[in-house]
Amino acid sequence: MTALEVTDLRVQYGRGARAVRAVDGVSLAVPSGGTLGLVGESGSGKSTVARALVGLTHGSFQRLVVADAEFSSWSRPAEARVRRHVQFITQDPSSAFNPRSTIGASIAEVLASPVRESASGTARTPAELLELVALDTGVARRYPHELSGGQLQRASIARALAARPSVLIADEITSALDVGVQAGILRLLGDLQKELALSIVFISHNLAVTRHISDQVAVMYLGRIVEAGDSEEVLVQSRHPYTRALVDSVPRLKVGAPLRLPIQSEPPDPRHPPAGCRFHPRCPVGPQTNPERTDCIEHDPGTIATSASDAACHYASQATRTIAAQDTPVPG
Amino acid sequence: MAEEAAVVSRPTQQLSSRAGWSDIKARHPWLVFLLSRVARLVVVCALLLVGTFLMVRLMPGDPARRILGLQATPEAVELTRHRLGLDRSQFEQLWSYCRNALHLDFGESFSQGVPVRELIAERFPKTVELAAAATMVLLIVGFGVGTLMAVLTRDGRRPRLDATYGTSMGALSAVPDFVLAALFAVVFGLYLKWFPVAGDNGLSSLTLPTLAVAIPGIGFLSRVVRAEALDVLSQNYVRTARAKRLTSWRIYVRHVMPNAAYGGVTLAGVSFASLVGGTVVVEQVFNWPGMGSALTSAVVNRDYPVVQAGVLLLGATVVIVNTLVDVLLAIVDPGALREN
Amino acid sequence: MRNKYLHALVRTPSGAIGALTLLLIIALAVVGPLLWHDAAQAENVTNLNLGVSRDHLFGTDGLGRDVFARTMVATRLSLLLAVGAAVVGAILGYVVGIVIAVLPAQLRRVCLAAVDVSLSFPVILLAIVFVAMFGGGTTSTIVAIGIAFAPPLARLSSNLALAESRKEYFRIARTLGVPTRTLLSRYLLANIAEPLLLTFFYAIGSALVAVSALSFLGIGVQPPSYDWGVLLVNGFTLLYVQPAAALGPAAMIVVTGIGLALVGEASARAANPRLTGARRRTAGDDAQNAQAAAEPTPDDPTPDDLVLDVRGLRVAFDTPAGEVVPVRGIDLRIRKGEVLGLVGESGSGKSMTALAIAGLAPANARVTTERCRFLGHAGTPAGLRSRRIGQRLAMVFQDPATSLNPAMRLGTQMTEAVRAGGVGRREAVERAVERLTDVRIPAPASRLRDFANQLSGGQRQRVMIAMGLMTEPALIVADEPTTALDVTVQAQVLSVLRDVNVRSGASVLLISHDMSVIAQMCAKVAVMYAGAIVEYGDTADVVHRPQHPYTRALLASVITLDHSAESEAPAEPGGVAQSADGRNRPGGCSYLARCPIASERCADEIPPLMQGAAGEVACWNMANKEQLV
Repeated sequence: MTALEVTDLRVQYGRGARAVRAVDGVSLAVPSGGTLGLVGESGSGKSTVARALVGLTHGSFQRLVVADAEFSSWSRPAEARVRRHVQFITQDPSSAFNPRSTIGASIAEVLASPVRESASGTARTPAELLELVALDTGVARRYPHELSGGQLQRASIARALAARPSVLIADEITSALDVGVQAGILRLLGDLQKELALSIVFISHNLAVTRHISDQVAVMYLGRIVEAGDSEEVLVQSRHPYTRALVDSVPRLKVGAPLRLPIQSEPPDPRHPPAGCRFHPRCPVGPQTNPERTDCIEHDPGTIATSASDAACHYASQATRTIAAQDTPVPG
Repeated sequence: MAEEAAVVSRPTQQLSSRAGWSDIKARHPWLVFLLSRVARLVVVCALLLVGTFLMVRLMPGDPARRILGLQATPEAVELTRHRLGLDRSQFEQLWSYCRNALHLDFGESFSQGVPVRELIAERFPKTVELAAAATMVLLIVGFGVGTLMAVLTRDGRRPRLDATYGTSMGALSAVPDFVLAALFAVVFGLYLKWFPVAGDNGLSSLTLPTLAVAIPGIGFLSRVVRAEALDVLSQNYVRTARAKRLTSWRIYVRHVMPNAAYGGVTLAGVSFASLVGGTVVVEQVFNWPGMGSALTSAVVNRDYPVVQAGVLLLGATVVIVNTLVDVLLAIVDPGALREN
Repeated sequence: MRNKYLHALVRTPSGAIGALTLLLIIALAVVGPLLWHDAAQAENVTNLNLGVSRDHLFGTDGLGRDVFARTMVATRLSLLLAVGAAVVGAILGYVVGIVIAVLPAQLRRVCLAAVDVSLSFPVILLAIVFVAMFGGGTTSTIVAIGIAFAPPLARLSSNLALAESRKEYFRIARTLGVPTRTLLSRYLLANIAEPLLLTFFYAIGSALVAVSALSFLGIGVQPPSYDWGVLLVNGFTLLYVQPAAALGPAAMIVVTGIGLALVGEASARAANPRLTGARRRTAGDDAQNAQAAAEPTPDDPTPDDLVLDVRGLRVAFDTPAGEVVPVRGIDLRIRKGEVLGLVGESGSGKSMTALAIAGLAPANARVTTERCRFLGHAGTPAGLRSRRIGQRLAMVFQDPATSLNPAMRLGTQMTEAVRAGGVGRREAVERAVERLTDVRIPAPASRLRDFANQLSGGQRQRVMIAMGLMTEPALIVADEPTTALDVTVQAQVLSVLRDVNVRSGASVLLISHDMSVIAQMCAKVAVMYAGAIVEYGDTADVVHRPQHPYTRALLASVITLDHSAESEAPAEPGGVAQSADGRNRPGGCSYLARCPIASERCADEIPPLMQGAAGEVACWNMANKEQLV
């Protein structure tokens, strides 16, 4: 059972020599009632995937399945279906509300929307929705600029829920918040998921947070999914050297732990992705360290679907062990 | 997200595989930029030609009749129609108009009986002279005052000066140039007799019209410059420069001014372009023998060849100057070229 | 909204004067023709071209008519023409502009280019062309000027509408299924109405000038009708005989124009709070701060191994709502070669602390210290008389993209500080290459000729560090140096920073919101809450055995990879960020309201930093050694 599924999603910005394939053939499936985490560095295309899924950015795909309805291209019926079932929450809650409307009015206009009439579940009042996200009902009378970042993010979740979606796409929703506030929002999201049987796409650059909230995780690099699978499996027993490097780069809350530096170089120009495996110029187990591994330069390991539980790497099985040997603690 | 897009190595084999326009675009941004500006210039000038042509044709009634008045004899009207070429087909008229215009031949002035070209050759340089002088004054004073005020009132310093300045500059830009012109004529020309009130007798005659044209602009320009300079002053790289303990002088000269210059070039071009066409009224006040006064009297006298030629010439000047500014800007900030 | 403008008008004297002037002019436009009509028409051949007298305030004209009366009567027509032209221009411009904004992208680009071209022609020139086409007269003047005004208004409204439709909340509203009608009315129009109205106001002023100019040129209003422009040109022919006849109408044009400008200015200020610089009070500038900081305390020598010793650092701002104190008297001691972490959430005052130490606090901040020594010299690094010693403090900022000058080559930026200090060009360049190598920038020599936009984010930050290293710093203050960077790049920058610390022996003050970064980098850590340090000690002690309840809450809310998913959800420490606004509060612990172990004493007395079991803690109840995490 999947709540939302897309096959071969592609998004391109610009044309000609300046064109960037921000999303290059991504296939993902959100399990019904579960959470799919999408991680990657900036420029990996993870936010573009989110925006393309709700039609904020124009993308093409082979197949899109929303609540059992299948579409082969972005059409009016597809758009209507997405509007009805999929909702989107952004990183910066302060830009997500009309500054001239109260929070209550912003929620009410979603409730009044004609699209909502055939939506599943029971309609709620703005006050009920605010209670649902643990906000004081008085917030309905306030303007966006009168609320703190955490309160606003809760309000924007309430507004998204007003549309009675079955899928929630959360794009870096805690990145702009302090750690303490972040923990509260994450707990809220978990509670709501249980209560309302929501399916969630959780997009974040923060691996730690993603690991704790997601059932499945997909790792993106330069517009492609390079590894996908069970959350624990991907982030603990990573098969792709890039995932491994990401995990190793995250600083630990452990005093005196050696500073690890799995990758020395920076991401390449997305307009000109490297040939073969896109990660090979930075790969700690690739041709940079093992010159005999020429297939990394010659053969593109491609992209993989989130349902596959696999890694797009020619040497996937050896990645973990080899990196451990390569690990370079920095002096000092 | 575009942060790391500005990266380093660019595999060349990929570039050569993509031929065509986008390739040229990537390799010769300058060429493409210049071509696009020239193309735009040509299009606008063509539009101007058609526009000035239609201007006379679109007027209600017969142009010949309008020129000659109701009392004219049918023969006279017919003669004028022939002189204007109105008896030929519209397309033919447009074609000959354009061809003549490209040879700077606009026919004869109805009211003065001399070729329009001669009239313009005499008048146009005078307008450019006035506009250039006024632009100089405008830029020097406007930039000086604007920058000074930005430095004095940065970070909310001297709030009272800030308020006074804003109000007085607002008031200054509300005074129309012809009122200033009249005032100057009375005070400096008539009572103090420092400068001549009318005509063109060299530099002393230029002074009053220049000031009358420049001063209202100063009220506007200095506020724009101030906002621009304040913006640069609040940039993080200025904070970095301060963190390096550079002297204030060096910070202003090396870090603030070059970045404010970008806006400066734009403003200089825009001011000059708008002054070339905007000195009309002041020229009239001081009887300055420029295009403006020629144009005005031509409108009053329904001297259409002169109106056509005048509008065409002033319009073309404005567009050419704006194009030059674009090119200059690209030189000042090559980054803008890449954005284009 | 309306109240806001009225308030702004009454509040500032210029706004009030402007409003009053306009009211008078409008009243004049209403009663003028009624009161002075006869006097304005009365010709008197015996009174031709009279000068100023009690009977004729502005003298008389060539037909012996009273110019004052005519000027008063002309008020109505002048105003009507100006408003009429502005209305025509606004309707035309705004409609065209908004329509352009909703066109498909290709067509929109063409239309905008056309608008831009017409925009480059001066309004008066366009007006003259249109008048030439329509013929003179009242109606054609209104229409001609209206059309001439349309391009700028169209450009403005399409810009505003486009910007609005690209706003995040506008796009999200569409995905939420908000109907198009609501989107147009409550989102688009509601948000751009204010600037459009303000512009309309300015347009009236400009239209008045344009109308008068056309009449002045004799191609606008035609006799026997007359507006101020006609009167002005009539008076102008008498300039030598009777200047008042010209100056009277001129004065009316100016007064009306200024009235409009003043009111417009005041309303714009009300609409844009950023322009309201007037309310911010500048409380003492750098010189004063430096003086306060540099008070000599010769009797108390600083131990040699202290690079920086600050006591009682306080940063305060005066606001209309009272004094705000983001940093409320903190002590910081940094030893040679030490990496000290300063951790806190947004609003805790940690960045302001860094800026104050470096002398970069905003000009309206009041920075005071009880004592401050840098490298054994009294005074903040910024206040030191010797620039060279001041330069031994280097800053690394959060946002490397904007912290480098985009218009200056990296080489120039890197070398300018030492060059100003007398180092030769070649030596400075050599040193720059060396420093870039230190921070692992490939091909450093050729990099010097590059501009900042040719580097990636991580490289820019490393260049910032290299630039700081040019002056052989004793202390590097790094304010959230990796917050804007990706994890892999963060690891690179942190390791460069660690390298630099080990190799050059420079101390580092590392400011971060991320406990994990601090834990990896720092030997000692200070935890900041609401402008005060609440806990200070060895990082190991603070992270593994936190004593202050805030530190405990902060650590509990940190989510790390190591916290396995099975463990209970991390607790939210009561929204610390919201409360930490730094306002003056009555004596007592600032963490009181959220503290689970508060006692009566906490409400009455501010706890100072006291020696705890390990490190220093600002808590009266830290002795309550309950279950420590």
